[in-house]
Amino acid sequence: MLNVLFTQEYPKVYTAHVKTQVSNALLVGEIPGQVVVGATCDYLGRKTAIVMTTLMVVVGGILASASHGVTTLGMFWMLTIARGIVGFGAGGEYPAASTSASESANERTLKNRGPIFVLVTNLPLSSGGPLAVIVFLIVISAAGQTHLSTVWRVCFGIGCIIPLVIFYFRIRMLNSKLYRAGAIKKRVPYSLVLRYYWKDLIGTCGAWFLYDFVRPLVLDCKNALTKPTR
Amino acid sequence: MTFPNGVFSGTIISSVTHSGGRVKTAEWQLLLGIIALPGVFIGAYLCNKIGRRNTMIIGFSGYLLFGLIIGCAYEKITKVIPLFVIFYGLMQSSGNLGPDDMLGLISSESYATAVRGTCYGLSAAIGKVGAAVGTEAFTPIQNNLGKRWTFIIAAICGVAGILVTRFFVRDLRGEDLQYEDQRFRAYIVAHGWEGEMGEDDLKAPALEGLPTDAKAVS
Repeated sequence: MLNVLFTQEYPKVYTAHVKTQVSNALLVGEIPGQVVVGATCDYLGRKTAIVMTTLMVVVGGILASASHGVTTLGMFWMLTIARGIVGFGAGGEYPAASTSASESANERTLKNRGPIFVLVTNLPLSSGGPLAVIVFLIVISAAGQTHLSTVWRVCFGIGCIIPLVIFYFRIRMLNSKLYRAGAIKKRVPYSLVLRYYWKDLIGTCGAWFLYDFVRPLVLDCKNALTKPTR
Repeated sequence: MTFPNGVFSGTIISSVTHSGGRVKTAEWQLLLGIIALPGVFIGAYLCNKIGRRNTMIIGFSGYLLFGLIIGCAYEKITKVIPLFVIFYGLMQSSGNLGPDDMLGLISSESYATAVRGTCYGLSAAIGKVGAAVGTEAFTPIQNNLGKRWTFIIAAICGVAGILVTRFFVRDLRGEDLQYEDQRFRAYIVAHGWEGEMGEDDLKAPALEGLPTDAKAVS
Protein backbone atom coordinates (compact mmCIF):
# COMPACT_ATOMS: atom_id res chain seq x y z
CA MET A 1 0.00 0.00 0.00
CA LEU A 2 2.78 2.39 0.89
CA ASN A 3 4.19 2.39 -2.61
CA VAL A 4 0.93 3.58 -4.08
CA LEU A 5 0.55 6.21 -1.38
CA PHE A 6 4.10 7.57 -1.55
CA THR A 7 3.97 7.75 -5.34
CA GLN A 8 0.91 9.96 -5.12
CA GLU A 9 2.06 12.10 -2.21
CA TYR A 10 5.70 12.60 -3.29
CA PRO A 11 5.69 12.05 -7.06
CA LYS A 12 8.92 14.00 -7.68
CA VAL A 13 11.13 12.47 -5.01
CA TYR A 14 9.68 8.95 -4.86
CA THR A 15 11.33 7.71 -8.02
CA ALA A 16 11.75 4.07 -9.02
CA HIS A 17 15.16 4.13 -7.35
CA VAL A 18 13.91 5.45 -4.00
CA LYS A 19 10.97 3.07 -4.22
CA THR A 20 13.24 0.04 -4.55
CA GLN A 21 15.38 1.35 -1.70
CA VAL A 22 12.45 1.78 0.69
CA SER A 23 10.85 -1.53 -0.35
CA ASN A 24 14.00 -3.59 -0.06
CA ALA A 25 15.08 -2.13 3.29
CA LEU A 26 12.79 -4.57 5.09
CA LEU A 27 14.15 -7.61 3.29
CA VAL A 28 17.75 -6.45 3.66
CA GLY A 29 17.18 -6.18 7.42
CA GLU A 30 15.34 -9.47 7.66
CA ILE A 31 17.97 -11.81 6.28
CA PRO A 32 20.76 -10.91 8.75
CA GLY A 33 18.09 -10.61 11.46
CA GLN A 34 17.10 -14.23 11.02
CA VAL A 35 20.67 -15.50 11.13
CA VAL A 36 21.97 -13.28 13.94
CA VAL A 37 18.93 -13.60 16.20
CA GLY A 38 18.79 -17.34 15.44
CA ALA A 39 22.27 -17.71 16.89
CA THR A 40 21.41 -15.32 19.74
CA CYS A 41 18.48 -17.54 20.80
CA ASP A 42 20.93 -20.40 21.21
CA TYR A 43 23.84 -18.53 22.80
CA LEU A 44 22.10 -16.02 25.05
CA GLY A 45 18.72 -17.62 25.47
CA ARG A 46 15.20 -17.44 24.12
CA LYS A 47 14.18 -14.62 26.39
CA THR A 48 17.07 -12.29 25.59
CA ALA A 49 16.48 -12.81 21.87
CA ILE A 50 12.74 -12.31 21.96
CA VAL A 51 12.97 -9.16 24.11
CA MET A 52 15.60 -7.81 21.72
CA THR A 53 13.49 -8.38 18.59
CA THR A 54 10.40 -6.79 20.14
CA LEU A 55 12.42 -3.72 21.10
CA MET A 56 13.84 -3.38 17.59
CA VAL A 57 10.40 -3.57 16.01
CA VAL A 58 9.04 -0.93 18.38
CA VAL A 59 12.03 1.43 18.10
CA GLY A 60 12.20 1.01 14.31
CA GLY A 61 8.46 1.59 14.04
CA ILE A 62 8.65 4.79 16.07
CA LEU A 63 11.56 6.05 13.97
CA ALA A 64 9.65 5.22 10.78
CA SER A 65 6.53 7.07 11.83
CA ALA A 66 8.62 10.06 12.88
CA SER A 67 10.76 10.09 9.71
CA HIS A 68 11.97 13.59 9.04
CA GLY A 69 14.57 15.26 6.91
CA VAL A 70 15.68 18.67 5.65
CA THR A 71 14.76 17.40 2.20
CA THR A 72 12.09 14.88 1.28
CA LEU A 73 14.83 12.58 0.05
CA GLY A 74 16.42 12.84 3.49
CA MET A 75 13.14 11.78 5.01
CA PHE A 76 13.06 8.72 2.78
CA TRP A 77 16.58 7.87 3.91
CA MET A 78 15.47 7.94 7.51
CA LEU A 79 12.50 5.79 6.58
CA THR A 80 14.80 3.34 4.81
CA ILE A 81 16.97 2.94 7.88
CA ALA A 82 13.99 2.71 10.21
CA ARG A 83 12.51 -0.03 8.03
CA GLY A 84 15.84 -1.79 8.06
CA ILE A 85 15.71 -1.85 11.88
CA VAL A 86 12.12 -3.11 11.82
CA GLY A 87 13.18 -5.72 9.28
CA PHE A 88 16.04 -6.94 11.45
CA GLY A 89 13.66 -7.29 14.39
CA ALA A 90 10.91 -8.89 12.32
CA GLY A 91 13.38 -11.30 10.75
CA GLY A 92 14.63 -12.16 14.22
CA GLU A 93 11.07 -12.86 15.31
CA TYR A 94 11.08 -15.97 13.13
CA PRO A 95 13.64 -17.95 15.13
CA ALA A 96 12.99 -16.20 18.45
CA ALA A 97 9.25 -16.76 18.51
CA SER A 98 9.34 -20.17 16.85
CA THR A 99 11.87 -21.73 19.23
CA SER A 100 9.87 -20.54 22.24
CA ALA A 101 6.56 -21.59 20.69
CA SER A 102 7.64 -25.13 19.88
CA GLU A 103 9.37 -25.62 23.21
CA SER A 104 6.49 -24.44 25.34
CA ALA A 105 3.94 -26.33 23.22
CA ASN A 106 6.12 -29.39 23.75
CA GLU A 107 6.04 -28.84 27.50
CA ARG A 108 2.33 -28.19 27.83
CA THR A 109 0.60 -30.19 25.15
CA LEU A 110 2.92 -32.63 23.48
CA LYS A 111 0.18 -34.34 21.47
CA ASN A 112 -1.03 -31.09 19.95
CA ARG A 113 2.36 -29.46 19.52
CA GLY A 114 1.95 -29.24 15.73
CA PRO A 115 -1.51 -27.66 15.52
CA ILE A 116 -0.78 -25.29 18.42
CA PHE A 117 2.50 -24.21 16.82
CA VAL A 118 0.76 -23.47 13.52
CA LEU A 119 -2.04 -21.57 15.25
CA VAL A 120 0.31 -19.36 17.27
CA THR A 121 2.80 -18.64 14.48
CA ASN A 122 1.24 -19.00 11.02
CA LEU A 123 -2.22 -17.76 11.93
CA PRO A 124 -1.07 -14.39 13.32
CA LEU A 125 1.40 -14.13 10.43
CA SER A 126 -1.38 -14.59 7.90
CA SER A 127 -3.83 -12.37 9.78
CA GLY A 128 -1.30 -9.56 10.14
CA GLY A 129 -1.52 -8.58 6.47
CA PRO A 130 -5.32 -8.22 6.38
CA LEU A 131 -5.27 -6.48 9.78
CA ALA A 132 -2.76 -3.92 8.49
CA VAL A 133 -4.99 -3.26 5.49
CA ILE A 134 -8.04 -2.85 7.74
CA VAL A 135 -6.10 -0.32 9.85
CA PHE A 136 -5.09 1.49 6.67
CA LEU A 137 -8.69 1.64 5.43
CA ILE A 138 -9.94 3.02 8.75
CA VAL A 139 -7.14 5.59 8.99
CA ILE A 140 -7.56 6.80 5.42
CA SER A 141 -11.31 7.14 5.92
CA ALA A 142 -10.76 9.12 9.10
CA ALA A 143 -7.93 11.35 7.88
CA GLY A 144 -9.30 11.87 4.40
CA GLN A 145 -7.68 11.31 1.05
CA THR A 146 -5.93 14.68 1.13
CA HIS A 147 -3.86 14.05 4.26
CA LEU A 148 -1.71 11.21 3.06
CA SER A 149 1.27 12.13 5.26
CA THR A 150 -0.96 11.74 8.34
CA VAL A 151 -2.18 8.41 6.98
CA TRP A 152 1.19 6.71 6.65
CA ARG A 153 2.58 8.13 9.88
CA VAL A 154 -0.44 7.06 11.90
CA CYS A 155 -0.34 3.59 10.30
CA PHE A 156 3.30 3.12 11.30
CA GLY A 157 2.50 4.39 14.78
CA ILE A 158 -0.42 2.01 15.28
CA GLY A 159 1.90 -0.76 14.13
CA CYS A 160 3.98 -0.23 17.28
CA ILE A 161 1.10 -0.84 19.67
CA ILE A 162 0.81 -4.62 19.37
CA PRO A 163 4.55 -5.28 19.87
CA LEU A 164 4.48 -2.92 22.85
CA VAL A 165 1.67 -4.90 24.47
CA ILE A 166 3.47 -8.18 23.74
CA PHE A 167 6.65 -6.74 25.21
CA TYR A 168 5.05 -6.73 28.65
CA PHE A 169 4.41 -10.46 28.49
CA ARG A 170 7.76 -11.30 27.02
CA ILE A 171 9.70 -9.51 29.71
CA ARG A 172 8.02 -11.81 32.23
CA MET A 173 8.69 -15.10 30.48
CA LEU A 174 11.36 -17.69 31.33
CA ASN A 175 13.62 -19.74 29.12
CA SER A 176 12.06 -23.14 28.44
CA LYS A 177 13.00 -26.22 30.41
CA LEU A 178 14.44 -27.76 27.26
CA TYR A 179 16.72 -24.75 26.84
CA ARG A 180 17.81 -24.73 30.47
CA ALA A 181 18.81 -28.39 30.08
CA GLY A 182 20.16 -28.55 26.54
CA ALA A 183 21.71 -25.20 25.61
CA ILE A 184 25.31 -24.94 24.46
CA LYS A 185 26.62 -21.48 25.29
CA LYS A 186 30.29 -21.91 24.53
CA ARG A 187 32.30 -23.63 21.79
CA VAL A 188 29.36 -24.88 19.76
CA PRO A 189 30.71 -27.83 17.71
CA TYR A 190 29.45 -26.57 14.34
CA SER A 191 31.31 -29.17 12.30
CA LEU A 192 29.59 -31.93 14.30
CA VAL A 193 26.27 -30.12 13.91
CA LEU A 194 26.77 -30.09 10.16
CA ARG A 195 27.70 -33.76 10.07
CA TYR A 196 24.72 -34.68 12.21
CA TYR A 197 22.12 -32.43 10.58
CA TRP A 198 23.19 -32.04 6.95
CA LYS A 199 20.18 -33.94 5.70
CA ASP A 200 17.68 -31.95 7.73
CA LEU A 201 19.38 -28.71 6.70
CA ILE A 202 19.03 -29.61 3.02
CA GLY A 203 15.39 -30.42 3.73
CA THR A 204 14.40 -27.24 5.57
CA CYS A 205 16.63 -24.80 3.66
CA GLY A 206 15.82 -26.37 0.30
CA ALA A 207 12.06 -26.50 0.75
CA TRP A 208 12.01 -22.99 2.19
CA PHE A 209 14.05 -21.62 -0.72
CA LEU A 210 11.83 -23.28 -3.31
CA TYR A 211 8.59 -22.13 -1.73
CA ASP A 212 9.65 -18.53 -1.17
CA PHE A 213 11.25 -18.38 -4.61
CA VAL A 214 8.06 -19.27 -6.41
CA ARG A 215 5.65 -17.36 -4.20
CA PRO A 216 6.18 -13.88 -5.66
CA LEU A 217 5.67 -15.36 -9.11
CA VAL A 218 2.44 -17.03 -8.14
CA LEU A 219 1.18 -14.08 -6.12
CA ASP A 220 1.56 -11.82 -9.09
CA CYS A 221 -0.42 -14.01 -11.41
CA LYS A 222 -3.62 -12.27 -10.52
CA ASN A 223 -2.44 -9.92 -13.24
CA ALA A 224 -3.46 -12.58 -15.69
CA LEU A 225 -7.05 -11.86 -14.75
CA THR A 226 -7.30 -8.39 -16.11
CA LYS A 227 -4.29 -7.84 -18.28
CA PRO A 228 -4.30 -9.32 -21.75
CA THR A 229 -1.25 -11.49 -22.29
CA ARG A 230 0.83 -12.06 -25.32
CA MET B 1 7.41 -18.33 5.24
CA THR B 2 5.31 -15.46 4.05
CA PHE B 3 6.82 -13.25 1.41
CA PRO B 4 6.85 -9.62 2.55
CA ASN B 5 4.28 -8.68 -0.02
CA GLY B 6 2.74 -5.76 1.83
CA VAL B 7 4.64 -3.14 -0.07
CA PHE B 8 4.98 -4.87 -3.39
CA SER B 9 1.49 -6.17 -3.88
CA GLY B 10 0.13 -2.66 -3.60
CA THR B 11 1.74 -1.91 -6.92
CA ILE B 12 0.70 -5.22 -8.38
CA ILE B 13 -2.93 -4.78 -7.54
CA SER B 14 -3.04 -1.18 -8.59
CA SER B 15 -2.16 -2.40 -12.06
CA VAL B 16 -4.97 -4.97 -11.85
CA THR B 17 -7.69 -2.57 -10.87
CA HIS B 18 -6.90 0.20 -13.32
CA SER B 19 -10.05 2.09 -12.47
CA GLY B 20 -9.87 2.12 -8.68
CA GLY B 21 -7.93 4.41 -6.39
CA ARG B 22 -6.07 3.75 -3.17
CA VAL B 23 -9.08 2.46 -1.27
CA LYS B 24 -10.04 0.05 -4.05
CA THR B 25 -6.49 -1.30 -4.10
CA ALA B 26 -6.55 -1.81 -0.35
CA GLU B 27 -9.88 -3.63 -0.54
CA TRP B 28 -8.47 -6.02 -3.13
CA GLN B 29 -5.47 -6.64 -0.95
CA LEU B 30 -7.72 -7.36 2.02
CA LEU B 31 -9.72 -9.88 0.01
CA LEU B 32 -6.60 -11.67 -1.22
CA GLY B 33 -5.18 -11.73 2.29
CA ILE B 34 -8.32 -13.24 3.79
CA ILE B 35 -8.46 -15.95 1.12
CA ALA B 36 -5.21 -17.27 2.64
CA LEU B 37 -6.70 -17.92 6.08
CA PRO B 38 -8.71 -21.18 5.65
CA GLY B 39 -5.59 -22.97 4.41
CA VAL B 40 -3.81 -22.16 7.68
CA PHE B 41 -6.46 -24.09 9.66
CA ILE B 42 -6.49 -27.02 7.25
CA GLY B 43 -2.72 -27.36 7.60
CA ALA B 44 -2.97 -27.20 11.40
CA TYR B 45 -5.47 -30.07 11.27
CA LEU B 46 -3.58 -32.20 8.77
CA CYS B 47 -0.17 -32.01 10.44
CA ASN B 48 -1.29 -34.34 13.23
CA LYS B 49 -3.66 -36.42 11.11
CA ILE B 50 -1.30 -37.38 8.28
CA GLY B 51 1.97 -35.92 9.53
CA ARG B 52 4.17 -32.93 8.79
CA ARG B 53 5.97 -34.43 5.86
CA ASN B 54 2.85 -35.62 4.06
CA THR B 55 1.10 -32.29 4.62
CA MET B 56 4.00 -30.45 3.03
CA ILE B 57 4.08 -32.94 0.15
CA ILE B 58 0.36 -32.33 -0.44
CA GLY B 59 1.04 -28.60 -0.57
CA PHE B 60 3.83 -28.92 -3.12
CA SER B 61 1.70 -31.39 -5.11
CA GLY B 62 -0.94 -28.68 -5.37
CA TYR B 63 1.63 -26.39 -6.97
CA LEU B 64 2.54 -29.18 -9.36
CA LEU B 65 -1.03 -30.10 -10.26
CA PHE B 66 -2.66 -26.67 -10.54
CA GLY B 67 0.49 -25.11 -11.96
CA LEU B 68 0.45 -27.66 -14.78
CA ILE B 69 -3.29 -27.30 -15.37
CA ILE B 70 -3.15 -23.51 -15.58
CA GLY B 71 0.18 -23.49 -17.41
CA CYS B 72 -0.82 -25.98 -20.09
CA ALA B 73 -4.34 -24.74 -20.71
CA TYR B 74 -3.46 -21.11 -20.14
CA GLU B 75 -5.17 -19.63 -23.17
CA LYS B 76 -8.42 -21.47 -22.49
CA ILE B 77 -8.53 -21.03 -18.74
CA THR B 78 -7.87 -17.31 -18.67
CA LYS B 79 -10.87 -16.76 -20.93
CA VAL B 80 -13.18 -18.24 -18.30
CA ILE B 81 -12.45 -16.02 -15.33
CA PRO B 82 -14.38 -17.98 -12.63
CA LEU B 83 -12.51 -21.13 -13.62
CA PHE B 84 -9.19 -19.34 -13.41
CA VAL B 85 -10.07 -17.92 -10.01
CA ILE B 86 -11.00 -21.39 -8.73
CA PHE B 87 -7.78 -23.01 -9.91
CA TYR B 88 -5.72 -20.09 -8.75
CA GLY B 89 -7.43 -20.17 -5.33
CA LEU B 90 -6.81 -23.90 -5.00
CA MET B 91 -3.17 -23.41 -5.89
CA GLN B 92 -2.78 -20.64 -3.32
CA SER B 93 -4.53 -22.68 -0.64
CA SER B 94 -2.36 -25.71 -1.21
CA GLY B 95 0.64 -23.45 -0.63
CA ASN B 96 -0.89 -22.07 2.55
CA LEU B 97 -1.79 -25.39 4.11
CA GLY B 98 1.40 -27.09 2.95
CA PRO B 99 4.79 -25.38 2.98
CA ASP B 100 3.48 -22.15 4.49
CA ASP B 101 2.23 -23.95 7.61
CA MET B 102 4.82 -26.72 7.76
CA LEU B 103 8.17 -25.00 7.09
CA GLY B 104 8.32 -23.28 10.46
CA LEU B 105 7.03 -26.31 12.33
CA ILE B 106 9.45 -28.73 10.70
CA SER B 107 12.39 -26.35 11.06
CA SER B 108 11.74 -26.00 14.77
CA GLU B 109 11.14 -29.70 15.46
CA SER B 110 14.00 -31.21 13.49
CA TYR B 111 16.88 -29.74 15.47
CA ALA B 112 18.16 -30.19 18.99
CA THR B 113 17.49 -27.34 21.42
CA ALA B 114 21.17 -26.31 21.45
CA VAL B 115 21.08 -25.36 17.76
CA ARG B 116 17.36 -24.94 17.13
CA GLY B 117 17.49 -21.17 16.78
CA THR B 118 20.58 -21.23 14.57
CA CYS B 119 19.29 -23.89 12.19
CA TYR B 120 15.82 -22.39 12.08
CA GLY B 121 17.21 -18.91 11.43
CA LEU B 122 19.48 -20.21 8.69
CA SER B 123 16.62 -22.03 6.97
CA ALA B 124 14.36 -19.00 7.15
CA ALA B 125 17.14 -16.76 5.83
CA ILE B 126 17.73 -19.07 2.85
CA GLY B 127 14.00 -18.79 2.25
CA LYS B 128 14.23 -15.00 2.21
CA VAL B 129 17.13 -15.19 -0.23
CA GLY B 130 14.83 -17.32 -2.38
CA ALA B 131 12.18 -14.64 -2.16
CA ALA B 132 14.67 -11.98 -3.26
CA VAL B 133 15.86 -14.12 -6.20
CA GLY B 134 12.26 -14.90 -7.15
CA THR B 135 11.29 -11.25 -7.14
CA GLU B 136 14.27 -10.35 -9.31
CA ALA B 137 13.78 -13.26 -11.70
CA PHE B 138 10.11 -12.68 -12.11
CA THR B 139 10.02 -9.75 -14.52
CA PRO B 140 12.57 -11.29 -16.94
CA ILE B 141 10.65 -14.59 -16.85
CA GLN B 142 7.37 -12.92 -17.70
CA ASN B 143 8.86 -10.73 -20.38
CA ASN B 144 10.83 -13.45 -22.10
CA LEU B 145 8.76 -16.55 -21.61
CA GLY B 146 5.25 -15.24 -21.08
CA LYS B 147 2.85 -15.59 -18.19
CA ARG B 148 2.00 -19.25 -18.69
CA TRP B 149 5.61 -20.10 -17.84
CA THR B 150 5.13 -18.61 -14.42
CA PHE B 151 2.78 -21.49 -13.71
CA ILE B 152 4.98 -24.10 -15.31
CA ILE B 153 7.90 -22.90 -13.20
CA ALA B 154 5.64 -23.13 -10.15
CA ALA B 155 4.91 -26.74 -11.15
CA ILE B 156 8.64 -27.48 -11.50
CA CYS B 157 9.29 -26.00 -8.05
CA GLY B 158 6.44 -28.19 -6.82
CA VAL B 159 8.22 -31.34 -8.05
CA ALA B 160 11.51 -30.22 -6.55
CA GLY B 161 9.72 -29.44 -3.28
CA ILE B 162 8.13 -32.90 -3.18
CA LEU B 163 11.52 -34.56 -3.70
CA VAL B 164 13.35 -32.45 -1.12
CA THR B 165 10.59 -33.05 1.41
CA ARG B 166 10.36 -36.77 0.74
CA PHE B 167 14.06 -37.44 1.04
CA PHE B 168 15.37 -34.85 3.48
CA VAL B 169 12.59 -34.03 5.92
CA ARG B 170 11.83 -36.08 9.02
CA ASP B 171 8.38 -36.34 10.56
CA LEU B 172 8.67 -35.97 14.31
CA ARG B 173 5.02 -35.64 15.23
CA GLY B 174 4.17 -36.95 18.65
CA GLU B 175 7.78 -37.37 19.77
CA ASP B 176 8.90 -35.32 22.76
CA LEU B 177 11.58 -32.83 21.67
CA GLN B 178 13.80 -34.02 24.51
CA TYR B 179 14.54 -37.28 22.66
CA GLU B 180 16.11 -35.42 19.75
CA ASP B 181 18.10 -33.46 22.35
CA GLN B 182 19.34 -36.72 23.85
CA ARG B 183 20.30 -38.22 20.49
CA PHE B 184 22.22 -35.06 19.59
CA ARG B 185 23.89 -34.91 22.98
CA ALA B 186 24.93 -38.57 22.72
CA TYR B 187 26.31 -37.90 19.23
CA ILE B 188 28.48 -34.93 20.15
CA VAL B 189 29.70 -36.63 23.33
CA ALA B 190 30.58 -39.76 21.31
CA HIS B 191 32.56 -37.53 18.95
CA GLY B 192 34.65 -36.07 21.70
CA TRP B 193 32.88 -32.84 22.56
CA GLU B 194 33.33 -31.91 26.19
CA GLY B 195 31.70 -28.96 27.79
CA GLU B 196 28.78 -27.79 29.81
CA MET B 197 25.22 -27.78 28.55
CA GLY B 198 22.22 -25.93 29.87
CA GLU B 199 21.93 -23.02 32.26
CA ASP B 200 20.82 -22.13 35.80
CA ASP B 201 19.16 -24.99 37.65
CA LEU B 202 19.63 -27.58 34.90
CA LYS B 203 23.25 -26.92 33.93
CA ALA B 204 25.48 -30.01 33.67
CA PRO B 205 28.53 -31.34 31.82
CA ALA B 206 27.47 -32.85 28.49
CA LEU B 207 28.24 -36.42 29.49
CA GLU B 208 26.41 -36.29 32.80
CA GLY B 209 23.23 -35.02 31.24
CA LEU B 210 22.78 -38.20 29.23
CA PRO B 211 20.29 -40.82 30.36
CA THR B 212 22.03 -44.08 31.39
CA ASP B 213 20.97 -46.10 28.34
CA ALA B 214 22.25 -43.44 25.96
CA LYS B 215 25.57 -43.41 27.79
CA ALA B 216 25.92 -47.13 27.21
CA VAL B 217 25.37 -46.62 23.48
CA SER B 218 27.92 -43.88 23.21
